[in-house]
Amino acid sequence: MARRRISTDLGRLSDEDLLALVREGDSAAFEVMYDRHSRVAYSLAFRLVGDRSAAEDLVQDAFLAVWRGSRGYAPGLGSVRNWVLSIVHHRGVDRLRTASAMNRRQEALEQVARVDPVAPDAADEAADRVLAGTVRAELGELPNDQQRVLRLAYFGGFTHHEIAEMLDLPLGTVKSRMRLGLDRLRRGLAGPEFLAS
Amino acid sequence: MSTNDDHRDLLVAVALGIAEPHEVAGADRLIAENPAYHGELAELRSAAAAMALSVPQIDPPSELKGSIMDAVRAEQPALRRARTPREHGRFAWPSWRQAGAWPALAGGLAAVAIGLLTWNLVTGADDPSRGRSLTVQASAAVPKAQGDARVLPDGTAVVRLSGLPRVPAGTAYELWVIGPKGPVSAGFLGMKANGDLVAMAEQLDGATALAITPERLDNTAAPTSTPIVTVALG
Repeated sequence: MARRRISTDLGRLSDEDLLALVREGDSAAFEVMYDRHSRVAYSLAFRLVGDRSAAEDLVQDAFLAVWRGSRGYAPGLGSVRNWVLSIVHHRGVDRLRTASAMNRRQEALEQVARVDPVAPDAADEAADRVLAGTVRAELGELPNDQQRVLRLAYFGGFTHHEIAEMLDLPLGTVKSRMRLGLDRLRRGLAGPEFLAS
Repeated sequence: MSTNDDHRDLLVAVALGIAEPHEVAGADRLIAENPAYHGELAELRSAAAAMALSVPQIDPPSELKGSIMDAVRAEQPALRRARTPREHGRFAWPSWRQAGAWPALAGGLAAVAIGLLTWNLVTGADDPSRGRSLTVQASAAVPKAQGDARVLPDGTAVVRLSGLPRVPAGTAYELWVIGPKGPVSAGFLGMKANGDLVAMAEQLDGATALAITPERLDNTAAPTSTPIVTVALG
């Protein structure tokens, strides 16, 4: 009973407050953080590496990095959720870059050509569903050429130069599309739910 | 001459996690010179991270949580000992680091270490779960330098320094991994919001030391001066 009561109380804490407890080695606080963010982290990992087993490895690495390096979080650089996602993303991109370059490029181009389902999964949590729907809508509002370079960068880990080569476009065109696309996405997602945890 | 669009291209690359080492260093310097870009980078990072929500959401298997929590609980006692009451090392926000191939460095670490001041780290040195702490040596050229370094359990080396003098425009501090074939760049040190400089080196096979030198941002070939800081890996 006591354990359940403690967990319930922890569940009311903000991510920042939970992280303060994690810094002191509180595994219960870490567990609440895991429950909050593991779904989106795992979904991102799966999208990056395309394989459930590899995605599990990636999420495990990332959350253990959070546990061991929780003092590395700087509030001025974004929410805790975004920090966790950035760790997943960074490690996922590292793994992508060690894969065969040719295979990676082909797979990435095929993935970008596919459109992610607009309808959210039935199992989505309500809050996440709203956020996910908003992000999909904002992404969908971007011109296709901006969407394409953003997806190749974020989900494929390709640099400006690599994307320019892949799409046979001038470097400046790739940069401007990426800049305009992400800036428009930023303005579209300027609500506090995206900037706070 | 750089334009606002050039600056924002750098920030966008960092936010999307695709910046190359010289771009990371360039963005760090940009933010140091114009703090307004700090907030802009945070917003761009949030927008980039939001893209993770656009993919179909999948529940992770319950076994994964069990595996992670088992590891966490196993490390918990040591972590608590290490974190109370001492201050200890940090992770940086991740940034892309890429190593290249370099010509051999003339001379060896022994020569480099002559005349260096030494300080030993005490941050969690007795805590295997946080990796192995390393001895950092600073040259007399940087008398106010302080910092720490450690090899994490996953094999990554993390170096954090403060008190280094500013370097001229177009240059930054660069981390080198000293291996059997000479020094290999591990990228430029990034600046955290509190002014600390941080770098990570991920490819340490056969390496004997880390070294830091001030370099031009376009130099990734080999160190051009005597290291101001060295870290023995042995």
